[in-house]
Amino acid sequence: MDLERLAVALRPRNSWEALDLGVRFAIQNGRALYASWLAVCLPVALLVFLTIGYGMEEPAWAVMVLWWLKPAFDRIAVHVLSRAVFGESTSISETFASLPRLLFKTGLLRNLSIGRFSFSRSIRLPVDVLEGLNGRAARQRKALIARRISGAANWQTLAWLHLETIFWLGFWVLMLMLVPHELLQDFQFSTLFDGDKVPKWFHWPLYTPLWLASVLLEPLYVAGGFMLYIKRRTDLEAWDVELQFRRLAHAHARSVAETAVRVACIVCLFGMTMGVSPPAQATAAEAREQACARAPEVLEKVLAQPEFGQDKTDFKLKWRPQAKKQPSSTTPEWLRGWLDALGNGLEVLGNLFALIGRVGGWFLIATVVVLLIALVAKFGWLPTPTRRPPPPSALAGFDIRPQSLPEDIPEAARSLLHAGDVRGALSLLFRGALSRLAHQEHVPFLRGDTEGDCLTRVRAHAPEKSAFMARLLGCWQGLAYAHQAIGGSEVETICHEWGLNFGGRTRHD
Amino acid sequence: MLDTLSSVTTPELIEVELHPAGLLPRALAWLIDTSIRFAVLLLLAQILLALGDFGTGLFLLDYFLLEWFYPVLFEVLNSGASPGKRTLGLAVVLADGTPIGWGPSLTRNLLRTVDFLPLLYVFGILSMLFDKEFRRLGDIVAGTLVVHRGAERKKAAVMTPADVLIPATPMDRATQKALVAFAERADSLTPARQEELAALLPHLALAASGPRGAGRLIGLANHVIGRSA
Repeated sequence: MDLERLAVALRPRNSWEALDLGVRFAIQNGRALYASWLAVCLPVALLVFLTIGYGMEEPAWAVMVLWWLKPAFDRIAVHVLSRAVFGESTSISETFASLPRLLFKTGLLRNLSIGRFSFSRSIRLPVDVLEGLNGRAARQRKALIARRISGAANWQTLAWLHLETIFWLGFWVLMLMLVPHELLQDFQFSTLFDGDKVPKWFHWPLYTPLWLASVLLEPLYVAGGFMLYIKRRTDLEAWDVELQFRRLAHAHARSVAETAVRVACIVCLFGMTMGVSPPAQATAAEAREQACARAPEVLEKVLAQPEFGQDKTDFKLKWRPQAKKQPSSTTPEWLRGWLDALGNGLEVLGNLFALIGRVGGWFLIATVVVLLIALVAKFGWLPTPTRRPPPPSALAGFDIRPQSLPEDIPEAARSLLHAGDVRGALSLLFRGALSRLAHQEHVPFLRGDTEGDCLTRVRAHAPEKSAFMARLLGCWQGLAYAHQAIGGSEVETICHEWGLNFGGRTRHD
Repeated sequence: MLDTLSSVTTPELIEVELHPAGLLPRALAWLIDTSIRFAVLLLLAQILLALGDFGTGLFLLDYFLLEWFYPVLFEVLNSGASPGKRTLGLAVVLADGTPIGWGPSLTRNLLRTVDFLPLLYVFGILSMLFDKEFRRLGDIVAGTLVVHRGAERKKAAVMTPADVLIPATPMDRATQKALVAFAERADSLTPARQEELAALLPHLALAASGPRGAGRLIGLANHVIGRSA
């Protein structure tokens, strides 16, 4: 099997796509397919119609027999399709030559008896015809092939059953549409289904369209099943991957050969063209000049292409407001009388509409109000009473709860300073300042704020304290991070100012 | 090479592949939608037809709206898919793959009447059988396509037990795609078939050291998809 000659693209596709591809493929190869198909179908049909239809006067039974024989005809379609898929066309004589094999070596008897009612016969058929297995092996193989695609195949069989009927009925409805109405005054559809009332000759035009529809649609059905089979085998055996690998192998072989040739050429040229380059350069320069000279011409040619400048006229329908005619101010007498008469009849209806209108109006208003409220609630246009979140318990690594601080912070700081702990004093002052700002000035610190963030917030919410805070922070950062020595007098001043800014004692609130 | 794909090239020269859906999935989707509409009408009839003439009027209005706007509303507001189409994984898009709007949707659904002629969509079915993109007449006029939405199949992860192997020379794009395709499919193939396929690429599958054959190809594929050792 030579996958590279395959006429359909191999890729992983779902079952529906495979069915669609089958229909497309059958129509693309319609000529060869229908030639072989009809070459066998028509003579057999003629024979059956002559014997059962004409001889026994039962055209309906003739159609029934032909319907039953479908699996036999299907083998021809699969045969043609399986060759077409590898790019081989099949002539009618070739089809006749392979008929004995198709009819007697592919389990036809089973397909015409038990298998006739199988809903997945379209995907079992290619296994029968193309793989030539028998008995147990054939059964296992068919079960394997049908495993993933039988759902789609069943639906396809159901669909085609309906399709034939729809085309048959559609043909008849179309005929009835085309017959002039006057000729069909007494016609009733029900008579068609009442066997006694239909004349015998009418069975012919009644049932042959059904046969015609089934003959024309069957190859598409077989093609759908055949493509499902191809899809399943592609999935099972990774035909698409094999094809890609084969192409890669070819490309590799070619590139190896090309490399060899190229190396040989370079070696040869290198020997021949030593020092003969200036003329080539001269011609290149000349060509370049020529191209430059021709540039405007070429440019015009390019611009003349339809992708560039073009005029396009667009027509658009537009409403043109007209001067309104003045309605006559008085209602004519005849109209008034008529309206009065009509009015009584329409009053009930009018009231109903009025009621609907009123209720609808209120409903509309209510809807709008609800919508407005929803909008306001969503985007918060109403000033909602803001609840201040409680200040965080720790800030920039400091515990700022008032309970954790001494009552008189400047005094405590001073005593620390006198004990020689400048760092402790400054830290206490800074911590105390943050605590006061958070709890008394209600500066909205957040838990993750850094020292710099704190200063920014103080500037925004308590600007009168910001100068002092900046100074305090500067001292603290200098001491803590830059390890600068801060003089005792400096700390003393800060203590003093601390008292001025925040008052002496903490009020525990 | 015959395929059912329809490719669209964007202005940026990106090729997008659409997967037009044919007769069978669309017929099944139609069946589901029709059943839903029928069920809704049946329910409405229970309530409305009890209300006398007024109820009948309302019922007829509902029937009208369901008949003409059920598909339109779903197509435009539900990203191109009525419940039936959604069940079958289909969607209606414009011929260039962009979402469908009111105009095209109304057009294609109003033209159902033409497709329906003479009975049960015979003209529509004929059109779908013969058109290369399986369009019914309404689709042709409105410039729309019904496509398989989830056609890009879910890709299986490349097999994990294999090592990650770094190729000796850089691999071109076709090689990379082929290797990944092979590795993705490997666990659904028999080991014998895996080796058979690997034997097609001796220059990749054979090496002086390390794993050989299918294992080596999967290792290379692992490298292609960015696994690190």
